[in-house]
Amino acid sequence: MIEAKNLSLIYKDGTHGIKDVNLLIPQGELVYVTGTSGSGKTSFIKLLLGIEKPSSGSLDVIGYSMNNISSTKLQSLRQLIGPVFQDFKLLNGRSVYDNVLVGLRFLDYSDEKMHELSLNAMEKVGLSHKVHSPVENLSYGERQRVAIARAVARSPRLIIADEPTGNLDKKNALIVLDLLKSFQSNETSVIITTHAVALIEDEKNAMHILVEDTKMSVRDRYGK
Amino acid sequence: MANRKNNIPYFIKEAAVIVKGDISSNTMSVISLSFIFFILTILFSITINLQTLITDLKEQAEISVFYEENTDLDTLKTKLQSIAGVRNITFINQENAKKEMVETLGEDSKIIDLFEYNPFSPYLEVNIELEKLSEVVNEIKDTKNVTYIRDNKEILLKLENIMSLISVFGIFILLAVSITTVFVTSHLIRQGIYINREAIGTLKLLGAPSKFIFFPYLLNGLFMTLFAGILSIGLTFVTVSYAFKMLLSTISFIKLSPFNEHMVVLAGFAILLSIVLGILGSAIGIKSTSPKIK
Repeated sequence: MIEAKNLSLIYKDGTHGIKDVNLLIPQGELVYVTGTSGSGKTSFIKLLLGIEKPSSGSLDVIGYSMNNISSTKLQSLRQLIGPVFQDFKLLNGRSVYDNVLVGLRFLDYSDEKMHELSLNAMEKVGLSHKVHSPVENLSYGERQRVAIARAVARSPRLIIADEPTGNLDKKNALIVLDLLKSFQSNETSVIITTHAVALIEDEKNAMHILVEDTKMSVRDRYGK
Repeated sequence: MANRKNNIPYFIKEAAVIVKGDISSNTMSVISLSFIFFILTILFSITINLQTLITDLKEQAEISVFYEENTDLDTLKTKLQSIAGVRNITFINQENAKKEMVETLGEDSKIIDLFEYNPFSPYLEVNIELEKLSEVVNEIKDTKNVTYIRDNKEILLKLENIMSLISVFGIFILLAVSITTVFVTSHLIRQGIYINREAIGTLKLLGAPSKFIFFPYLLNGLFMTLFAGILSIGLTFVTVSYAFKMLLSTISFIKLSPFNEHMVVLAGFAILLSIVLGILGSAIGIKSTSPKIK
């Protein structure tokens, strides 16, 4: 699913995003990427989404080599990923429904199927009652759930949530983590980045990646 | 791109959202463009009507030949008929000469009633081949008993000169209008893309193809120029109908293009031009900005 070999990212200004990373994430895995702010979590996410390209080493995501990936292939890869951004990146001026549907419109679905998938996703995140509300009228938590619904509606192979617990209290953070975990399946991997280690340290059924000073150490679900 | 057809209502809705996002710039651009299109359609209208007038005058390639009193008409007609380039000759007596003038002047013909006698002279109406106008006129001039020849040669030449001047001027205006429209449209689209750069970035991260992302911007430009084109048709309609009324009441015998057909042609011209320039301007705006949005 995801394989990195000696992967490094150096930004144009010379700062290191991540350094010499080696890891293998199998399909259907739940992965927590933890570390303090600026440790390299977001750099890793940027590489997975093709926002940045590897400076050295190699990275394969769902069978796509991210080294010199073409824009057409990157587009195809991104269609297999359900991203939940830290700032949600919702389309203002549109309803909850429109925001969820927009991620499906360019995929090979009929109108009926798109409608059904959107409604299902909104139901799963508990937003069935806000379908036609403009997203700018929603609370922080609700906006986050719209972002999650948009990510999962397309049944992605990989869900990437960047700091979904960032601005939440412990209770709500756990609710969001549980919600994201519920989308993990044999076909769908879930990668969650968070700096709130305390929230996930008891999570045995997941792979943990600790990012410290741009370096990654991996502990799989068996504690290895 | 899948669901291209199904997405049309979405694209239109998105185009509307883009317009709402920068309503003042869009409104000002539509107003400016409608005036630009208005100038062009008026120029086009003038060209069409001049062309109509010239064609009409050419079709009426007749000269009126006046002669001395007591001339033997049969002999004169035979002489004229033998000149190369003369098609046929019709005798117009005094009464018919008056009738023709009454028909030509229309309502203004009342002025003729002021005369206590018929002021018109009989003449021969000579239908000729236009290309041989000069030769025919010269030969008729030298014919015995001919006192005066009335022809449209000078008017035709002047009109044709004006016509070629307008054509050259028109090409420059068309070029200027096209460049201005493309520039205004592409600038507005670039501005729209810049304002919505975050939304565009999000769609890219979701894997949306460029055609899907930027089609609403193309529609935005197209709708803007199309709306400006429709507004210009309204302005042109008012102006041309007023001009037609003015011209026909002042110079009643002037031959103008039939109003309804003329307006259809002008509307078609404005619409076609606005569509082509709208698409072109939008495409340039998209092409120059889209790669910069990550």
